[in-house]
Amino acid sequence: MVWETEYVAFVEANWARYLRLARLLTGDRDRGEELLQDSLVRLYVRWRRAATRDPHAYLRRMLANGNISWWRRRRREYLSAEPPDRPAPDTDRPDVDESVRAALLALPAGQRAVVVLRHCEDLTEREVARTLGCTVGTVKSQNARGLRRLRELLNGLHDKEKVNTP
Amino acid sequence: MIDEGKLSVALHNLAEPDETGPAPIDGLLQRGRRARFNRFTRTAGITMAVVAVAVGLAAVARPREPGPVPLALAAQTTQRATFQFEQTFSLKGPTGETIIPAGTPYQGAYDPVHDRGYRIQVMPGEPHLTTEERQIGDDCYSRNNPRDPWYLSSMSGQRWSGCWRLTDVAEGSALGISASPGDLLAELESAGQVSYAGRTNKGRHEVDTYRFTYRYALDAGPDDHRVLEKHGTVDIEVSTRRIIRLAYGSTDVTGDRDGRYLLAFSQELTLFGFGEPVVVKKPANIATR
Repeated sequence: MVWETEYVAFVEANWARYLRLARLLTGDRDRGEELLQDSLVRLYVRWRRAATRDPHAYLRRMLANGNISWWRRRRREYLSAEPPDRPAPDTDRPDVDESVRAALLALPAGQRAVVVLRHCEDLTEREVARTLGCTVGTVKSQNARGLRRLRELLNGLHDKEKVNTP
Repeated sequence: MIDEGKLSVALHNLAEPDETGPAPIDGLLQRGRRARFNRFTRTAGITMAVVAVAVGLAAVARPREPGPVPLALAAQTTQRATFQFEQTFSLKGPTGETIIPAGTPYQGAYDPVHDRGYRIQVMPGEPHLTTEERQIGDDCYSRNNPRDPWYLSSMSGQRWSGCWRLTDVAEGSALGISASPGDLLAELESAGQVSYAGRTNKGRHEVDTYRFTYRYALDAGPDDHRVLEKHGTVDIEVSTRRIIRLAYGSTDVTGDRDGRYLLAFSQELTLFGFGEPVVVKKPANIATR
């Protein structure tokens, strides 16, 4: 099947890129891979339609919405059962990267998606809005709040390190 | 303090690919094919269910009659179930003078299968003039008012003088026509010349209308051979294939020397309440004529 060959080529070429994005969105290595695989399976089912448009946009939307849905489910579970375990930190990159990653994880899932897509994926505000199915105004406001919150968190971490340093 | 520029760079650095293994292509293809198959079967299942429901509904719903319901068929169908009816009559003389005006209707019910029925005429404001007839097979019970006893007569012996008489007026009776709904339906079943007049209303209320005109001979007594002409319209409810209304006139066209019998009679019969039970009880206090 020609379309399946195209799909395989797309996955092989973009696996690393979108695995990184999925991990940033989820804040967890395993959970990120799980999200990407689930999204790629759904992309396989819809490939012929997605390929005629923009498979990258399709996949980004699946990743962002899939993660938000997952967090909503977790929140319901949280309300009705024991508090869930926190995701294990990604320890591949030390220092600043790890601080930023930890601060990102503190953002709400929707806000984190805006910040990640805008700054890590370098999408324009319009593209982020299209990916998340919201207005450009929402993207702007969520991005501004997200960055402010990240700075607060990182400055807080910085101050704490200074205090702890002898 | 971290400023916005540094933060942006730090975020961008997060997007740099790190060490990852190859994409699990085989696993993804396997899961994708399975998901695709499940989606196909689910869609096919829903489609089949929708088709099944549609086919079921189509089977339950009576298909639209493509052409006119034949009059003979409608007459037969109408005679297969009980019904209630309302009858009105009028009678005019040879010069058009009204002998009996179309007045108070008869209310009644008839069971064609068991050949039994009744009709009552209640005169407004004059309950003592209420007339009633009950027919059970060959027996006819009738009384002219509630204070009279019931009289028994035979339907086969003197068919038109017992129940279902058109009128008590001598001239009318001489026409010798039965007002029995059963007889009228049987007559329509073999009606002579009929013409289809079209379909009116919509949906369940569609009605086919026929016009008919035919002559028939009547032996009204020794040396009294009459020829009558009937003309009228009949409405058939298309959805049930039943006759729901019959309006006709009957005229003596024998061309009598003195015009004694040149009477014009008309009746309108409306049928409704098909299938409802019709109970006709033999009355007490029966007198013999």
